[in-house]
Amino acid sequence: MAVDSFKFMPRTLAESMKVWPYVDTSSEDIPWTAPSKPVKESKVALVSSGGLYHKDDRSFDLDRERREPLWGDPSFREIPRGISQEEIRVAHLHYENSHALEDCNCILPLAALDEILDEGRIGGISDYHLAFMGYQPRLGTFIRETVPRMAERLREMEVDLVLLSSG
Amino acid sequence: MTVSLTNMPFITEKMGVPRGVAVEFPFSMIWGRPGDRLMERDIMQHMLDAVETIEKPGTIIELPYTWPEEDFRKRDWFPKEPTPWMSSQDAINEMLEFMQHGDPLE
Repeated sequence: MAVDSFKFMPRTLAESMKVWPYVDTSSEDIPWTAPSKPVKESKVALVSSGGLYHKDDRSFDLDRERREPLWGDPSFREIPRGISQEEIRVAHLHYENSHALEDCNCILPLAALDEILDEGRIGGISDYHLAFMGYQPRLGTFIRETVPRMAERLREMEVDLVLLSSG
Repeated sequence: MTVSLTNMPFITEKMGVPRGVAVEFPFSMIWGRPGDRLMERDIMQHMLDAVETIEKPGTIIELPYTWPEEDFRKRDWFPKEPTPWMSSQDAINEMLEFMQHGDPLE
């Protein structure tokens, strides 16, 4: 890999990430869904692990993480398609939040998505995007409960293509 | 169907995502600096293209963008508040124990 995964981390954090107890998926086939339609006909949703939420929604629970540092809030939030920058809130203790509070597009590119829809490069945009808080050392609840609920929600909105990104 | 944008392909490879696109950008600005709409669009177009070009599950396409040196020196992606697991020696010890013996699926 030419991309340096650890370029922006302090050395101690980088070393810990190299020995992290990742979930071992080496014996499993990588999931694969073939495109059911051309991209230009596909409805697209964004899913972000950046801890974004609407100002009228609940924050992610950072106080509990402060009390229990190996716990991360495993829930997710829905971000309305037309949300304004002023309505965006961010709750994530593992990256600097101020950039997203200045312009959420640097972690949730809503404006670019609108532009490529206007240009006919995609077929539609889902009514809601999804966000969760990506610090999840213990993944059990997140994998067993949150991920299936997010997938179901995306199916309900008849999303064809999900663009996932981190915070 | 998913395409994942990652700045940590080291981990993304281990997870085994169907289609990946990698950038050497920091957390907090993985789609580029605030206001850089052209970069957001470029990355998004690469992700859309990946839907049609990636044929082998687990493929990660690396994009050639680099983080400008003058921006790197700012180091403005770090949170101002220390992350809780690094905030005390007890918390660090708990994390080290988890890293050595913990169950990530707990």
